[in-house]
Amino acid sequence: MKEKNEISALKATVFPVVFGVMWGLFEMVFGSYLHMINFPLRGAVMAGFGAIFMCISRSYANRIGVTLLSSAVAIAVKLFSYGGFKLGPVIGIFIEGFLMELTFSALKFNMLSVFIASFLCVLEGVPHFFITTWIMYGGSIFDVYINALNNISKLFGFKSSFYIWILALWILCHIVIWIFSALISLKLIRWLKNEIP
Amino acid sequence: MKFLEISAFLLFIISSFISNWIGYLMLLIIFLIVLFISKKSLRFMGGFKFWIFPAIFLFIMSFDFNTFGLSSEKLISNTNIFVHLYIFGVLINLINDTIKMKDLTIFFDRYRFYKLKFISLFTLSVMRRMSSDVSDVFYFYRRENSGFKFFKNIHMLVYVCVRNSVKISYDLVELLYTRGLYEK
Repeated sequence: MKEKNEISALKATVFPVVFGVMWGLFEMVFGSYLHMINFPLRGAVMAGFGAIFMCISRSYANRIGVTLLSSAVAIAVKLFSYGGFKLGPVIGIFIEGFLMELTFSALKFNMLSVFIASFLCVLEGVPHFFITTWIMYGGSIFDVYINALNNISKLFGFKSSFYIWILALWILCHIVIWIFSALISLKLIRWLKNEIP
Repeated sequence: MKFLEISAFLLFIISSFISNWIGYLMLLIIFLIVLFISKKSLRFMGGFKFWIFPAIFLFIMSFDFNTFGLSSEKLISNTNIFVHLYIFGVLINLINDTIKMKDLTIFFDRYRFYKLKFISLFTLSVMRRMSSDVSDVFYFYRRENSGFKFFKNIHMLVYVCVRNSVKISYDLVELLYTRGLYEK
């Protein structure tokens, strides 16, 4: 019994560290590639991958704090990588880890919590964009953006509310990424549990 | 992190909510703090290309499009945004220039955060082991899956990475347990 508890405690340290490192490295290698090819919605795509890594690590080490530790490790990997500190991804990873930890702690690990945690993780990008923009440029940047959009709509003869549709499309894309991310998580957990129980 | 660095960060967060002269004063204080701590952190963050777009965009947005004249009120407000972005870059440079892994381990030792120290050193060793693995997997994936196949088979890339992680985790759990490293 003691041996089992010790191994379980070790798993609760080792799994989040390894998966956190994997998440951080994936952000560095794959994230840089997406950045290089100017892939749209790369933040949401990377959040989707983060959700997959967190769900799988939680399926192997189901203890409170595991997901938060993973996100802290992923932040550390980003912090000491060649790209150095970047506010957007670092805040993003921390909030994603925190939201997923809350979900898994409250609902336990099951199919529903995987869907809810992935939803919060991917859709976090929507408020995150506005908050980091606010911090980076200061609050008056949104007046400049709205002014620019109004001028563009005047110039091309669009309705002044056209940017609401762009915002709606942006959120819809996040929802599509969330569904894919949750389904891939569940599929991979099934495959992995068959191969490495 | 020392008192001055933390003060600079707090001032920066507060200055995001203030767009009048007090905001400018806060940014100036941050500039002076960074000048005092690390002069080289005052460089422009990122490449030259990074600064072209915000500079041009904010300059164009300072014009009044009805009269095509430069509005001094908008110019002052937009300059504030640009200076804010520059100070943000300076703070990022400050983090990258001053925080080192060694400082963190000293900090953990001083305040007896032994578990955190173990995790940070463990992270470093796992990272060394896994970084070449991930690069290799990604290189071969890109070679075999070009064009649309790159996105179509993405779940296989994730599967390989995750499977490797699970195997490494089990190996490490076994190694740490048999050597009793974790308990010490």
